[in-house]
Amino acid sequence: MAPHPGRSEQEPLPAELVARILAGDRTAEEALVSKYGRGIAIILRRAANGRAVMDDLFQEVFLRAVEKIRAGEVREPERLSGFLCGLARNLAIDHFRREALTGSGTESVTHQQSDPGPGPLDQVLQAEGQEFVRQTLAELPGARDRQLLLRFYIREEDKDRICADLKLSSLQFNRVLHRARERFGELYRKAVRHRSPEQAKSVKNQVAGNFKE
Amino acid sequence: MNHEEIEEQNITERYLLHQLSAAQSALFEEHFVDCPVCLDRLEDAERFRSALKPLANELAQPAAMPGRRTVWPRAAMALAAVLLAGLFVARDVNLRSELEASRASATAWRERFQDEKNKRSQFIATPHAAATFFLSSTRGQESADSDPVNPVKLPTGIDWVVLALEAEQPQPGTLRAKLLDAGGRGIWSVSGLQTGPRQALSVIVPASILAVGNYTLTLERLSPAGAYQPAGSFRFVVLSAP
Repeated sequence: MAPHPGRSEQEPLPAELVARILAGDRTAEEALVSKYGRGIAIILRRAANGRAVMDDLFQEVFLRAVEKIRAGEVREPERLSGFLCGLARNLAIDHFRREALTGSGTESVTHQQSDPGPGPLDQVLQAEGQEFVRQTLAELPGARDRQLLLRFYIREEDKDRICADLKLSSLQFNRVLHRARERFGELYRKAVRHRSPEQAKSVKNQVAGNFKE
Repeated sequence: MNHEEIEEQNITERYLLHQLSAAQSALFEEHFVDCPVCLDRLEDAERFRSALKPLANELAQPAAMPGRRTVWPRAAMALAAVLLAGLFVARDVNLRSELEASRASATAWRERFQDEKNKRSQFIATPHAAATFFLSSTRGQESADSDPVNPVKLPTGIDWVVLALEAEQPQPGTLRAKLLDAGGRGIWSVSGLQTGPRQALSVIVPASILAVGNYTLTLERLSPAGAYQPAGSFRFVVLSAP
């Protein structure tokens, strides 16, 4: 696969990371989390499907990964991405299966924390996010585009069906989706940039690190 | 998987909405976990969807969400404050509107469910014909230019093609099968196939996806580390198709 655009030149290659971890380099373990943390968090949030997930699961993925790398179980270091994704999926499936078996999920092998509900920062982020959505929607040319977003994102209807009902081509559908997502992202990033460094760090940690939808 | 393909096929959103097959999801995960562009897109789509949810009711009513945002002058804002008392009455109206929107949403879901149910009943009620072909595995020494060992002639009137895979030493495990066209593009895949000891494996693909040309069916086995490893390759050529 061709190198990903936007990737830093200085980022370590997967095989290099594996070799450094095998050699006992602790900074390589940090680099592993830094390089793959965002992606693994997305996989876990998706697997959680709205359920509260604790940071423990995220940490467990990387702890197990490092253990397996150290034990020489990663036989194809250049395919480290696939290995980590598979590990995250399996641990998430296993976690939620165990949680389902224990009923309410109050206690299992890992420690379940009760969800205290959205904190003050969560509430600010939620309100801010909704404002950005309103702005994004207001910039769309018509009600049809808003219907498209509602049906696709919230009602989770099939693209072909939406296109047929709203008399849209696949290309028009993609344009609306692309425009909405990009505009929203632009507003979000602009707001993050204008925060103080402390606020930005706190928000970034909340958004990227917590596992509540 | 490249960015053009990801954008064209709405892979980002379909991944988040669980609308991709397990194989497609795994392939996309392997890509995005190390791709800053896709990570940004995924996080934007996640946040957008999350922030859109509480507004779903408003969105369901076109009148409640004007096409262009109106910027109210301060005077109008002050006037609005005076009218605050009217909110108690408006609240009742809003609740009714939300109820109507929920009803409309429930009706849409019911219709969709019925539609899917009808499609399923139709499928079961209609007789389907399939043709079976036995494929020998392709050896490593076979070059891309050599004649394929598995010629396939599709008869007319069949809906499905059964590809029975000959394996010398079938091993139990979890497998993934991928069908690639002559250009190496994936046109069909299935994952999570479970095989037991001394079991032959067959996969069933829709006849409609096969045109005249060369194809490769690859098998991959899920390793204890959670990664799929190559487990077999079956090249075949469709010599005729209806």
